[in-house]
Amino acid sequence: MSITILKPGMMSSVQDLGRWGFQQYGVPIGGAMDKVSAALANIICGNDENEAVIEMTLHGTSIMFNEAAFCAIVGGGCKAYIDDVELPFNRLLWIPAFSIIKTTANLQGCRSYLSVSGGFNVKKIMGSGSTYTPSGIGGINGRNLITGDMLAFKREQNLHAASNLHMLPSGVGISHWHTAELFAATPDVAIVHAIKGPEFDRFNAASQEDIFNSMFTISSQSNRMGYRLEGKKFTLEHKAEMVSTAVTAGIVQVTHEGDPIILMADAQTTGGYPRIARICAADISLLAQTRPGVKIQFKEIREEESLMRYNRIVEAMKRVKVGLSNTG
Amino acid sequence: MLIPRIYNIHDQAITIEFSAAISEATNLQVIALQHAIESNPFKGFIECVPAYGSLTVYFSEQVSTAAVRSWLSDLSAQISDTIDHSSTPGRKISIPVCYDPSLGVDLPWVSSHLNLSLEEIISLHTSVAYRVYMIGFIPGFPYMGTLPEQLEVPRKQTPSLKIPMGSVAIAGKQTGIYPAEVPGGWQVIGRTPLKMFDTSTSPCSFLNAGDLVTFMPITLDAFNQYP
Repeated sequence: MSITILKPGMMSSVQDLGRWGFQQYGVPIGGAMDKVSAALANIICGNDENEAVIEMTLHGTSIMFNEAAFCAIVGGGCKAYIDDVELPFNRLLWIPAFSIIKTTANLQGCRSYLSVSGGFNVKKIMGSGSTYTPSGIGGINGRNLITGDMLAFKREQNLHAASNLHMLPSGVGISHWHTAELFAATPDVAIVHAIKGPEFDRFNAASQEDIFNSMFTISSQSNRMGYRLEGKKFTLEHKAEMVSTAVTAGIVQVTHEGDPIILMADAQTTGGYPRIARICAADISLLAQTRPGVKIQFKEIREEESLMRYNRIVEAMKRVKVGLSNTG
Repeated sequence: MLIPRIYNIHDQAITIEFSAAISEATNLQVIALQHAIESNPFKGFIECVPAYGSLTVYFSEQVSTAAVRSWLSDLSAQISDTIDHSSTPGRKISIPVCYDPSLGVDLPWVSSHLNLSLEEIISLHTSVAYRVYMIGFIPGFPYMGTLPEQLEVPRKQTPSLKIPMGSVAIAGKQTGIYPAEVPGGWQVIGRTPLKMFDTSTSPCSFLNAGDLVTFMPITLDAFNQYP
């Protein structure tokens, strides 16, 4: 009961919804970059939404199913195939034994999540299976996946459940239903909702104007810790040393050189750079699905609207769960 | 008492900032508030992150931002009178450090920059007890102060690409210990054989915010024979 990584592609790692409760010891939350998609992949498979999944960045991944299994793929950045059969996202899939899922390029999105029914048997480190490579914690030996890695399933697959699926001649099964897209990744300009950051007032007038009125490009120097942005530079009105304080995913901090960085999943727990803005929590998944080279524009919203948008995602997830439990 | 500044850093995380400066009194207030919350957590509470002059509280959608804000503000006002500034909220810990120049690779630079002998540096660094203000930067890294004024040095212009695990370093008014081999910009003056971060222990970090640390010099032989 397992899969084998034949090719990790651009970058693949084991992630769940994060390692919570240890930030006071300097341990980042980490976990899936796009937590909405990771949770959805699990919900489709009937799993707890915090089960470990495989996060595949862009394309080039190749995974062998050593036994038949139910799985789901959610997110973007690739198209998935078994031979010449394209596998739809957001549906429950039945994969016959010895099938190989290969991913190819797709202009939309950046990260896709593969879950299997019952979940992968990954050792939890401090309550989480998430891979945090800077400290070598979690996943498979604290590192990204490499060719030959085998991930076992937690439990046997329920073969009878496959009868509810639409069966293709190749033996691949696809559910008739699919889950709704909760947000749409874009290949051109991503509109990201943001609120003024804690140190917004410390920036000069031009910087305060530019953050919400100019376009930025996500730099190729971006990773799971943060997205570097290219575009206008930012300047403080008065240079003053900042004392370190807590930071988290979605914070837009400005380096001494004036470059903005959006902190992402593997963000450090604390930081000492001035924070010009913070991204609405509901848009972090959208950002995770926005790849280097794509332009983004910050749209200023008020805190109340940010909360409303976030609650909307939480409610939508609840509806998906209820909806799926009714399909039986 | 100063009115703290309260702001969101996330839709589900709120920071209460008592001061934007490094002060022992403020940090005591931060840790007192952390202990008060942790010993009587509200519904939806996830975790606290203490920093020099601020405490950040993470919570779930079970509770509203407005409720957490007003609760934090009330609680911090309530406890501000009860803080005992003469005692330490954490443990008192002695940490062995070998100040041999083969391990404290920046000792020659620090010595010439400050015009102090090696012995003077060791005696100054071990002369006071340091408060652990916060853990951050990387898992298990303690930010400690306050360093004797005569030991104040700037950070490196260009950070070192690899600072060995256990390195004891100084920068500005602070001293810290690198829990893993990472790039870093502080001046390394020694090394401890103790493990500062271990995922198999509970808690995973050897030090906590609020602890009081003294350094005890050990010889290179003692360092090498350390169990």
